[in-house]
Amino acid sequence: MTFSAWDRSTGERGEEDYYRILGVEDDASQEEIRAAYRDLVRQYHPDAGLVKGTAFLFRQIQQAYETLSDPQRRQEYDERLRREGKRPPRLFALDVLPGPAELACVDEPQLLYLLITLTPLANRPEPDTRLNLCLVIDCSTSMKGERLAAVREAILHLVEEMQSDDILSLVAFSDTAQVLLPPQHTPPSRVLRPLLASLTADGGTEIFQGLQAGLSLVGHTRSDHQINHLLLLTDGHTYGDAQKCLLAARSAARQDIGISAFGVGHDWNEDFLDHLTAAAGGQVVFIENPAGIGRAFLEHLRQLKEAWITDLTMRLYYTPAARFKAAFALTPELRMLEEIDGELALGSLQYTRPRHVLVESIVSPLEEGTHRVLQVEAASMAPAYGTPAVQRKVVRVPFRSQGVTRPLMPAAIVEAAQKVSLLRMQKLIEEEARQGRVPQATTLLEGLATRLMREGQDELAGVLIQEARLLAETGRLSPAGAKRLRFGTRALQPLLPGGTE
Amino acid sequence: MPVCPTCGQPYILNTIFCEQCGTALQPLHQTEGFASAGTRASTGPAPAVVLEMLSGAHQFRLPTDALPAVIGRADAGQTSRPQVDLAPYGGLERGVSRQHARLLWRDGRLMIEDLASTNGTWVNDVRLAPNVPHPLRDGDILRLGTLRLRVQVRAGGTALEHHASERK
Repeated sequence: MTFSAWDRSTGERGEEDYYRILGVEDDASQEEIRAAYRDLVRQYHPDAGLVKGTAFLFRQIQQAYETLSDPQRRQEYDERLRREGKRPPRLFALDVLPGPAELACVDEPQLLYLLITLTPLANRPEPDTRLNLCLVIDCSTSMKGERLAAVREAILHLVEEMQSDDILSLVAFSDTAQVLLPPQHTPPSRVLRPLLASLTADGGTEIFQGLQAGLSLVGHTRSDHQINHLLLLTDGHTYGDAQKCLLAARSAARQDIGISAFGVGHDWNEDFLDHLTAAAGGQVVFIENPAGIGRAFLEHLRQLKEAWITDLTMRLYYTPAARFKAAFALTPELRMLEEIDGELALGSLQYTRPRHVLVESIVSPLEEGTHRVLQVEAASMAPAYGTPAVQRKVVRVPFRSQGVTRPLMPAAIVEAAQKVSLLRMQKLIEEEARQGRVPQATTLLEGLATRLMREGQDELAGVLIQEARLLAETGRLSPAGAKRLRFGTRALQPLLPGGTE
Repeated sequence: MPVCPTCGQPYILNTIFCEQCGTALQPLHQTEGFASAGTRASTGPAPAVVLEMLSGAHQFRLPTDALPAVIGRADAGQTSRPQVDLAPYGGLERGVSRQHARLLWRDGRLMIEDLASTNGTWVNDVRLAPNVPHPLRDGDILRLGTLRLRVQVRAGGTALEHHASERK
């Protein structure tokens, strides 16, 4: 799993995106442009022979520099971009903090952490964004009674909080799917009440049936000016159609349709729902008790309405000297990010708070001096404007042959790495338990509980100590224990700087 | 490649925590953040830091084994509260961010790190770069926004024990 090298010379603006070729911001100063050019020449000059087949890229770099370094020509170029509508508004800021601050000239690879902060540049979206929401509700036999009753109430509460020009649709599924409410402006609860009363729980859980029907409804009414979202609620396992579900989720992600999943009780598959929602950076919400459904819905609605930009993705372009190792979302959840189609899907950015990501890269030995290591690019849709927004930053790191006795790590990176290490322990415990290595899994689980205790996470630590005991006795993690472990770890929040003040 | 002292797993240079067992791979005092985790060798009472408001309104006393500590101002919308809360002392009016800076104890030295605050952190009227720890000495004047504090560093078990109750 590696990200593309520095191979994309054309961008969203078409053939000749000079800013992107040089990897500078649209408002870069002449010094920044010169520095970027010097870096690139050093690495891509055909005579340097560092990378094969760079002659074409080198010509493009020359061309970009000649245009942007000449104020007159740059102004003409900017004018053209504006005329052609290729100048996206600046809707969020991208900050990259590397750690260690400098690397030593040694003859082995080194790890470089990047703490990436995405900060919304607005207090609230103007104009307001509208929702295009589809609720896909599991009505299999196991939903009977308390669960279905709680879902009915939760939907009625949700609708009261929605605006009349938000679009809502409803799908119920078991072995087949049934469209309960076709997409329309949010109806009042007196219209919905009889519809919901007609819901009955009977049959199996074929998630693909519900997903397909729901996605087609959202797709029908989707627009770039809305937040297009599908919310799946289930309490069971789907059989045989998991692959089809994942493909559908990916194709939805490409249309900027987000998917989140609510798992009720203990008998659903957390791996499956994690994969399903990952394609568009959505969330999985664990609801142990049906009484929590209503609150979870409202909280989710609030997050959706606060989405300043959606479909936030990040790409990393590495120079030949570095490569990708792993990436983790730190907020709003602690989660390992999967690379899908060369991108990391981050979901949405709320206008109320920044998002943080920790990226680990491996850097090969380099000579003394400051070297460009990678370029970070974040792109998204902004429903309030119906346009995409892009930000990018080049990461340069100084290498020193003397004086670097120990890595100088910014405290925020240590804090983030500490939480990520807890997440890695959790994943390892799951893996060991899956492989049936009970003593190893138990020891690790106790170790994780001890570390959590030291950090003041007494409640989760207590839960995990109990689970460790159960694991030792029964030889496996219970479905409930596995969920408490995974979602409990995910809720751990590093204390990070920044934000909008 | 170096290996983890606890579990023997090889790791890439600069890795902060072992991926296998979670052991901190950098000596704890240089990564900070773990002083309160019970790993600090205890040799008598820990040294302490006293932050005294120049207006004389208050003193904050922090034993170094309670570091790192965030200096900022508590805010209604926030779940976590900074260890040194300047909200009751005009923090908002003086431009103190919710999480403004933090005090660290690293390599036996007191450090301050600006947490990318809006109005900046200053030591003796020199503005600090965000997210880069800077050493603090006894007698330094620390400024957060426009709020000024005098820094005092006390050796373990000596003076100022009577201030122990100062911090609420």
